[in-house]
Amino acid sequence: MQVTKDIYMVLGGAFSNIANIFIIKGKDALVMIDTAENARELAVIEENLRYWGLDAYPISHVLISHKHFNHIGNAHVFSGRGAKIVAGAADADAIEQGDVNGTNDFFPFPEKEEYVPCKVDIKVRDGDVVHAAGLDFEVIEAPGHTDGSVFYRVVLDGKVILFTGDVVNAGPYCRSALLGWEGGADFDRDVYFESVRRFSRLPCDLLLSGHYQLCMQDGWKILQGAYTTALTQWQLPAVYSE
Amino acid sequence: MRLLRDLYQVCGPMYGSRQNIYAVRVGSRVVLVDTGMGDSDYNIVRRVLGEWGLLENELSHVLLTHAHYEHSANAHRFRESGAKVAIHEAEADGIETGDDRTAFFAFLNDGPFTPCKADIRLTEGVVVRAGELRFEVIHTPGHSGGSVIYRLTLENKTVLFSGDTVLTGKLCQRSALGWTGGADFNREQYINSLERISTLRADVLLPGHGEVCMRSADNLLVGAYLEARLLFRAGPLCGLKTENKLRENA
Repeated sequence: MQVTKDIYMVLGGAFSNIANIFIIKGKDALVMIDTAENARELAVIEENLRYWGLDAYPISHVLISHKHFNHIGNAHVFSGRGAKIVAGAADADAIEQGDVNGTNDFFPFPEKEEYVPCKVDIKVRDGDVVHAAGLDFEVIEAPGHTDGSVFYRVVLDGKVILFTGDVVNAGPYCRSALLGWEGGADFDRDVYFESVRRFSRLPCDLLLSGHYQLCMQDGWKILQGAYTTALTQWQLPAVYSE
Repeated sequence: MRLLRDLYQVCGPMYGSRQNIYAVRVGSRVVLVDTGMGDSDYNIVRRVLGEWGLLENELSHVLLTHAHYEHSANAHRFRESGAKVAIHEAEADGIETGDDRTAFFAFLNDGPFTPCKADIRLTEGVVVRAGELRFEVIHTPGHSGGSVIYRLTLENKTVLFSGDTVLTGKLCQRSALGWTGGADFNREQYINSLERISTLRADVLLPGHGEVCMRSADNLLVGAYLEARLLFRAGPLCGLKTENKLRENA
């Protein structure tokens, strides 16, 4: 699917898949956000690249949102084809070494294939800017879901676009925010909460998350909503109810 | 969102709306499937058409999947710009008079229904032609008396605009059924319609609400018939479970 003039979604719910994978078309090259997990998903990604004529361009960079297996499993494939792999510094070791607990290689991915470790070419930290395909992707650290979870921020056609990985997902109809899975080995609620509080004030137009619903407008509302979700889910469990 | 080269989603959850509206480009013209309701949906449609450079294209047809308010309430606005409004004959009078078939009573805060002339009254098997495209009408009564699915072949893919007859669950891995509270809802008709379409081949399923599904849509047709059997015919415990699911999807 073509999300905007230069952004494509090549895997996601519409393709019966849990992971949202995006392609940004820059100058004579593509930037990919996350990779999904296995060969079956890779085949769908490649089919969509062909459909939209994107296979004519090289993927110069793969920006990894975090180290969980369903986001990185195919990284080695794109690395092998010449893409530079970019990930948060704190998640890079797990991606490079295939640390089973770090990547959650054991669960909850029933279709998992053997994880093939992948070199991380660029290990990024808060405020770094990745120059890729003629575009600037700013890194915003948002640890908690994993230590090295990051947002990538890019401005296209005057719109602020955030790729938020699993740190914040949009709820139904973009009217609420969902927080990421809490089962990771380095999941840390307190750290996560601080991340949420910090990013809740960020401007955002399009919020494109690692799972579920895309939000094509007013992404800042989802960022603010994440703060509400974090407060109600984590701070006030006694009075929280569905 | 551009779903295929000539197929767009111009309103839906990613724009903060509960209604899905689709646009198909046919040369220099556009066909709209459903219309949403109120200023909000109308403005979203115009904005998204504009983003894809389609706002100045002539709107040739508005194809309504059924008469319910949230799908048809803006039909009169698009008709003013010259589009021909098509709806099944069982509900054509419904939108022309704004009667109970529009389910206006379920939308208390959204203003009265503005009647709209039905230019084309559809029946089973009729084909609406727009340029070289053919929208085949499959009458699927149940959710409402005049619910239809439009079948379109686009780039060798079979695309179904399923209205509320077949909805989709999370990640296109489950099917869901439409609201059962309409004045002309009919359980037996609904289950019979779903049985009839359960063997159709389809690639892309575009429901009136929820997630669009771009692959292997036939699974969802089979799944909808299963959901209907569980909800409408199976024992109370089984039905209850599915009914909760239905509520989640609503």
